[in-house]
Order: sequence, then C-alpha cells, then structure tokens
Amino acid sequence: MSYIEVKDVKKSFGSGDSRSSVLKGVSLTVDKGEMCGIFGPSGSGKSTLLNMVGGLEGYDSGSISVNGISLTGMSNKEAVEYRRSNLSFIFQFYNLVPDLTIRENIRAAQYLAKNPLPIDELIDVVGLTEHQNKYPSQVSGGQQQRCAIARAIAKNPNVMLCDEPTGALDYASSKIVLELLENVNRKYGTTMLIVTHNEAIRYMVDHIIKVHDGLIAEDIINTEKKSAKEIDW
Amino acid sequence: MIILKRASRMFMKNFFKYLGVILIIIFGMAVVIGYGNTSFSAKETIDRYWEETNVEDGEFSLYVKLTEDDKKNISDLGISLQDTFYFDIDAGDSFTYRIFKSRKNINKEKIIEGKTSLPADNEIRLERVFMEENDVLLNDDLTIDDKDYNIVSKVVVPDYEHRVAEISNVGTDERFALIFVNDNVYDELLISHKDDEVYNYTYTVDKGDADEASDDLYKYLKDLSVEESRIEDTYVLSELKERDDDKKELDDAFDDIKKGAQDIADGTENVNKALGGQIKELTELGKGAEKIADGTSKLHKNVSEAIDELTEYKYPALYRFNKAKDNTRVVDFVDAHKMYYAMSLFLGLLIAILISYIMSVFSAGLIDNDSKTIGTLYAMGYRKSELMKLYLLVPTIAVTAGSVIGTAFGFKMTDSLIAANYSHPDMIHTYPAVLIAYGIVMPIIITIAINCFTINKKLSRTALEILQNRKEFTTKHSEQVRTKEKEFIPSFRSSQTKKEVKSHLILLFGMILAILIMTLGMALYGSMIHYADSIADDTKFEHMYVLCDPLEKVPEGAERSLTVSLSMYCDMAGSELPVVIEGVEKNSKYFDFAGKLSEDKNLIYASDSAIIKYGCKKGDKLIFTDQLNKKDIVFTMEGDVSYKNGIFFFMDIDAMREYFELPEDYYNTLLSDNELDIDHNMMISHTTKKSIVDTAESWAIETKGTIGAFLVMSIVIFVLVICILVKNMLERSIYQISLLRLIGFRTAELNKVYLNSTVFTAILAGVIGMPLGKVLMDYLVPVMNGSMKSGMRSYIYPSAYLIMSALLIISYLASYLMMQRKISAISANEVLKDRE
Repeated sequence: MSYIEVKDVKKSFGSGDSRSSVLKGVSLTVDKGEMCGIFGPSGSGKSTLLNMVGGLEGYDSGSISVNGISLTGMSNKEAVEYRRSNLSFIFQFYNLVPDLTIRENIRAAQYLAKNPLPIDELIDVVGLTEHQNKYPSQVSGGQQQRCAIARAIAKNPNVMLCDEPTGALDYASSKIVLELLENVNRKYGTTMLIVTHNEAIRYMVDHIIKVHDGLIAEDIINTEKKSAKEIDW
Repeated sequence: MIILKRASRMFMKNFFKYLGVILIIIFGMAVVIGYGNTSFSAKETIDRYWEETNVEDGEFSLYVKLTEDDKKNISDLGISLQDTFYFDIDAGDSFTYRIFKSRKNINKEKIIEGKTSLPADNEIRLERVFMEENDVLLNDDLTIDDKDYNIVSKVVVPDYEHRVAEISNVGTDERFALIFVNDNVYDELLISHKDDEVYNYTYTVDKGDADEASDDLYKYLKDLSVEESRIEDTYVLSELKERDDDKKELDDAFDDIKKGAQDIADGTENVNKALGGQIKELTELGKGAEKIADGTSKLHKNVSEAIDELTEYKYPALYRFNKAKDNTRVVDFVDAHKMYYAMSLFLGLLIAILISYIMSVFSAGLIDNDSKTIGTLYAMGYRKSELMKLYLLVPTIAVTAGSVIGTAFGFKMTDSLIAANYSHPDMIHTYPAVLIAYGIVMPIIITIAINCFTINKKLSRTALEILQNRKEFTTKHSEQVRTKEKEFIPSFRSSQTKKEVKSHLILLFGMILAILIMTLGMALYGSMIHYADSIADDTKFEHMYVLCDPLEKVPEGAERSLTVSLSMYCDMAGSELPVVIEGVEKNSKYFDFAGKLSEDKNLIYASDSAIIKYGCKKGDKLIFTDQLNKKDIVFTMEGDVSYKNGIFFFMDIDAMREYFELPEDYYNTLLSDNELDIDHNMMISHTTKKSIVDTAESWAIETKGTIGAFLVMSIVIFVLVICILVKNMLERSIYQISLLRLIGFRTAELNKVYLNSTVFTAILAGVIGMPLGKVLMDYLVPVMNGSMKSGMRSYIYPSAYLIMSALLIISYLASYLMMQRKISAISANEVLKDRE
C-alpha cells in the first residue's frame, strides 16, 4: 500500500473572474522510504501540492492520505497534530528561528518528537559541530540549510517535505545539501517529497513526478538512479 | 520548551521598547500605589497611635470648671474625664502658643524624638509640625513670656492631627504651636493669662456604646448653668445689672408705699391721740393704713419672689461639645487620604489599560514581523497554545517587572505623599494585599487578557497564511494608495495611517492620558493659587472677632455681625462639616452683597464655597444641625453670594436675629480694618485676613511637589508612548521604508509619510485632552478636597494652557527627532535582507 496517496485533487484560488485553477485533478502515490522529486515550471502547482500534503493548505476536491491518515476535511488543530507527529519541512530560505542558535533550532524540533534523534549525532551528520552555538545570521546559507535539514530529521519524521531545498544555494552548497538529504533518506528511511526546479535532481530520486499546468505530466520510477555526488548541473 | 529561550532574546532585541513600557509602568504604578497606600498607611498609623495615646471619645468646653460633684456624676455615667485646659499666648509676629499641661491619661503626647520623662520646670515639649515648619530643633530654647524654655521633646497629640486653633478653622497655620509643660510651669504661666484659660475637658467612655454615653454626658452638661457670681461675660453682667436695678426700683417703690402707709397710720394715731382718741374714724383710718403697710409688705414679698422666679438667669455652662468622630481635628487626617485611594485606583486602571494595549500592539507587530518563524514552527507541528506562551511571555515579564518595581517604589514613596500639614507620628509602612493585587496582579491580568485576544487572533490564521504573512499585503491597502487622486505622499500617508489605525488610537489614548495627568497637576496648583487670590479679594475685613456676647460698646470703626456655627452633612466629604451662618448689616462695608439680602427670616444665601461643597441651588431646603443643642434648623436658599473662605451662608442680620429670637441689637462678631482692644474674656476667636490668606497660600506651596510629580509623570508617559508606538509602527514598515529609500525617496519625504500623521494624532489629543481635562478637573478637584472645610473650585489659569501646550510641543518635538533618527537609520539594504 502506498504511503502517500493523492487522488484527483483539485485546487483553485480566487473567486469569480479572477478564479484560477492551480491543480486540476492530480493523482499520485509515493511509497514509504521513497525519495520523490516533483518538478515543473513556476506556477505549475508543485508547491501547492506539497503544501497540501503537508496539511498547510486545503483542497477543493479529491483526497490525500499520508500513512493512512486522511487529510480531507482536517481542521487546523488536527493538521497541527498531524504535522507534529509525522512531518518535517525544509524551505528554500531555511526559515530558521533567528534568535535561537543552530543547536537550539534543532532542539526546538526535538522537543516535538516522541523519539527524537540524538542531537550531537545530527549536528555531526550535517557537519555543524563547530558552528552549533552560532546564530543563523552568523553562518552561510548552505550551513543554514544544513541546520534546517538537521532540524527536519531531529523529529525522526515519517515524511520530509522539501520545498526548493537548494533554490537559494550556490552549486557547492547545493551538492552538500543534496548529499545530506540522500544520506538521511538512506540512513533513516525517511520518505521525502522534494519540490524543485533543478532538473539535475531527477537523477538522484527514486520517483519522478512532473507537474505542468495543474496536471501530472510525468510520473515515472527512476530506474537509473545516481548518487548525489554523481549528478551535476 | 526550547523556543521559550527566544523570550529573553526577543526582550533584549526590543530592549528599549520594553524599557519604555517598563518605565511607564514604574512611573504610573509608583504614583498610583504611592497615593493609594497613603489611605492605608494613614489608617494603620492612626489606629495604633490612637490606641497608644488613648484618644478621646469626645471633648467639651465650659465657661466654668466642673465641680467635684459634677465630676462624680459624670464618672457615674461610665465616663473618664481629663482636664485639658489651655490658654493661648500671643507670641508676636502672628505666632500663637497654645499651652497645655502634659496629658496624663487621654490624648497623651507621643514622643517622636527627645526626652520621654516629664519636662522639668525649664523645659517644654513642642508639637512636631511647628518645629519642622519653623526649623526649630530639639534643645533649642523657646521664649514664652520673656522666659526661655528648653525644647526637650518633639511630640504629636491625637486631638490636634489637623492642627487648627478652632475646629471650624479652614486651614492650619504654621505659626500655631502646641506646647506641653509640667503642672508647675502651666500654673506659673497662667498667672498672666488667667482670663484666657479655656476650660476644656476630654473624655473617654469606659464601657458600652461611646455614642450613647456621649449623648448622656451631653444631656448632663446641657443642664449645667453658671452661678451668677461666676459669670464674667460683660454683656450678661450688664443684663443682670439692669435686672437688679429694676428690682431695686420696685423694692424702693414698695418700701415707699409701705413707708407712706405706715406714716399715714402713725400720723393718724398721733392726730387721734392729740384729739383725745375720741374720733373713731381716725382710729379706723390708722388701722387701714397699717393694713396697707402689712399688705404692701406681703405684696412686696410675693412680687419679689415672682420677679426673682421670672428673671432667674440660667447661664449655660456648656459652649462646645464634640464627639471625636465629628471632630475634624481628630479625624480629618484619615478622611483626607480616603479620597486618594479612589483617585489612584481610577488612574491605575487607565495606566494598566494603556500598557496592555501598547503591549498588544507590540505583540501583534512582533507576530507580523515574525510570521515566517511562526509559520515554520506551525509547519513543524508547534501548537497555537505553545506559540501563545512564547508571545505572552515577554509582555507578561515586562509588565510584571514594571509592576513589581513600580509598586515597590509606590510603597517606598508613600510617606512623601502624605499631606504635609497634618501632625502625625512616623508613618507605619503598610503593604495591603489589595494594593499589591492592584499594582501587580491587575496589570498582568489585563495584559494577558488583551494580549491573549490579540495574539490568538493573529495566530488563528493557517500556517501558510502566517508563513506568507498574507494579511500584511491585502489588496485593500494597496488599492487605497492607487485610487487616491491627490499627491502621492498625502495619499500614501493616509493609507499608512489607516493601516496603523489601532496604533494611532492607542497613541491617542496614551497622549490624552498624559494630558489628563498634566491637567490634573496644573488644576491642583491653579486651584490652590486661585483660591488664595479669591480669598484675598473676597475677604475685605482685616480682623474678625467672634465674641461670647455683645460688648458694652461697639468699638469705633468696627462693624457688627452675627455668627452662628452649625454643621451640615456633606456627601462629598462623607461626614458632617462645620458651617457658619453669618448675619450681616444692610450697609456692611465688608460684604458688598449685604444690601440685596432678603429680610425674610427663613431665607438664606449660600456662598460660592458652600455651593461647591453642597451643590445647593435656589429654592433648596437646607438642613443645618445645631450640634450643641442637638436640633436641626431648616432654611430655604434664596440665592448665592461670592465668598470663598470657609463654608459660609449669609442672612440679613435683623432677619437672623428674628429667626434665632435674639434681641434686636444683638451681635457676636466684630469686623474691622484695624486691631481692636477687646477683653479676652469676651472673645472666642480672632481671625485675621493675613492668616486666612497665608494659610491658603501655604497649601499652594505644599502642593508644588505633587504637581512636579504629575508633570514629570505626564511628560514621561507622553514621550514614551510616542517613542514606543511610533518605533513599533516604523519597524513594521521597515521593508517599505527601505524600498522607498531604494527608489529615491529622501528622508524628509519619508518623515512626511511615516511621522507626520502623528502630528495630527498629537493635535487631536490636545483638542480632546485639554477640554476633557477641564471637565474632569471641575469634578475631581472639589472631590479630592472633599474633607476640606471650604469649597475649592477647579481653576486652570490661561497661562497654564500655554505652559502645557509648550511642554507638549517640546516633548513631541523631542520624540519626533528621536523617530527621525530611527527613520534615518533604515537603509536601502534592508529590502535586500528580506528577499523572499
């Protein structure tokens, strides 16, 4: 049985003449432990799809379930509990809490988990040991994103939702971040949805989904998967 | 919870904003709690003081001393008596020394400093406030009747907490001294002042109800009369002499009749004898004449007895009786501070609401600025309740810190806020739970409640809405800017003002509060000064002598009037206040309204001071109480007259004589331009215009400190409210300001957009605050002086409005300059920092 199941989901914004359909009936499935890349041009609806799986955004019709939990008709309060128990997010602009140190940002996520991963191991995994007591503004973008990854996996989540995780990073930092994501997926078996513009990432994911104009344009299993180290752009 | 670690960093990041709020709370709560606590401190201090010094249950004065039999009879009523005789010595330069024997049982002196044992023959104890106001020190010498006495103790006594010479006096006089000496010194000094001694007694009720026992005592005293041989009142003596002269004339007439009849009898008998005793008719005539003589003797005896009975003169011994609870000299200190409590609670509530709203604006701004973080935390799975804890923590801690410090300062400064003109022991420091709750718990609860509401509303949006901070850029605002057809800057400013309307409303509220506090200070000072000036204008006489009875001859240059002292219940004071009905002559040169007073004995005119106190108007039935005779007297108010000192009502003197059934030339008051030579036996009190005006002016001087505190507090609140709220508004608009700067806007133009709207808010605050202040002060000033024995109207000098305006403009400009610097510090780079 699929771990993430999206069935004929439709979503529009606005009303009247200015109403525009962002998702026009999207269906997909993602298996547990799978690293799934969602690709598509700006405005195609890929981020909206990610937000809906994350319980951040509702949908007009269709259904979404994650690990057997139906998101249809979920209240805000239920959505919070759903995210608290199952999900972690990684954002393009890291979204670290500016007045907590790197270590404290990770601890903030640990607090939410029933079985958090050991913090020192995480910091070591993301290579931030020597920066752990610095504030986000005192480290580079790449380091901030590594912290965001550590924060995401600290909860030991079932699913990680990554929205343009390398979108704000240079090539070298992007490579490090992608390697980290790959390691996390491998080491902890975390299911990942990665929304990105970066076509190169399609080579390192298990499952490739392409969204175009609110519809799934491509949904294939990557049989020629490469490691993060091997890809280039 | 790790994210709570943010709280201290959020606090440090916004340190100056929170510091401003904390300062407002400290200033506000210090004044509120300080003033509020004066009421508790005064009550606690006086309760213990009264117990320690065995305060009287009442006092009375007689024209003669009580006899031993009287004392025994009073003792049988369950009452303990103490002779508290005194006499006043005119020490020159308007100084009056009131000499008492050291008290042994009731109203005992409390030694504040110095020797505790009885003063020796060359020593005195001196009242505290007199010493402090006249810079007299322990071990200094005080000259009394040309002899120096060493001051060995500084004391206070419970029957002179409001240290006025007469209970009905309006204000205290710094030149009035209470001196306590041993019995020998008292007797020695009395030799030269025998005629001035007042036979005053204080009493306590040993058991049972003090009121009932006092009433019994009063009834007993009311029936006491002075033996004729002990009467010293010259008016009464002259009346008695006239009676005796009339009686003597009658006696002489009877004697003449008797003698004439006897002469007829004797003559008839002699004639009859000369005629050989043969004429029977002559014998009968002689017998008849003898009968007339005998009858006349009998008639004389009976008529004399009847006249004696009819003209028996009962001269009442009692001329003053006051239960302690009605004696303002005893209870005024506590009563005067009761008003402060209600006032401070009202002010405290306004400050707490202001602070809470400022805090809620902070929190809302913080949440808007923090939306990305909040959205992220939401996305991570943090619950709203957990985030609310975070955003409530800092305001709560800030308010708690300010409240605790402010409340502590308030308790600390209570002593300095106690009205200075009262005589009292060192104040007991009180920390009433109700004030602690009011000073600390109330602001915290209001802050939490208002912040909970605001934060809850902010956090009730979906995680994505918060993450993208959608509300900040609603189409509504952007449309407003576009659709305006006027110039860009006014249009944009208008849009910004609408966006920040809540902040502007709180700013307006804060500014108005500051203006009200400033107006209160100005009104208190202005009212005192104006009162002193008005008294000087209204009081046209230089000397007023209240007499026991009329003098044999009215001194040259003096004007007669009639004074009756009564009391009247005053809602504003919550007690009976002494009032005076003054009967003035039609052609009075001291009361220019005298000619218009009605000759109707039931009509009375209220002075404007009385109208302030009682709110009475034409046609009202005014009920006065004659405390001495325990009866009510009712007059109808016919009109009002201008007179500010004391609580006076006026009548035509003849109408007043008619009402009180007094002889047609009766008077008991003399008014004059110059000092009169009046026998002290005949004088109850002597008041000078100078002492009245000096007293009123001394109040104005005493209130200067309070007014200073109000002005500083108002300016601090005004400046801090502007700085805090405008800074907050600017911080919310950093991105926009930076963007405008990036595209070429100058700082002056940015000031116009972001700061000039506060000019309108400040002007509006002035336009609302000053008239509102005036209206509030018209109500508050008389209420604040509720226990004062004179009506004081609120008065704000026109110049005070100019001073207030100048202070507000300067404060505003200073704040404006600080905010300009804040705008100048926002660079175009800010926009680049927030690329998302």
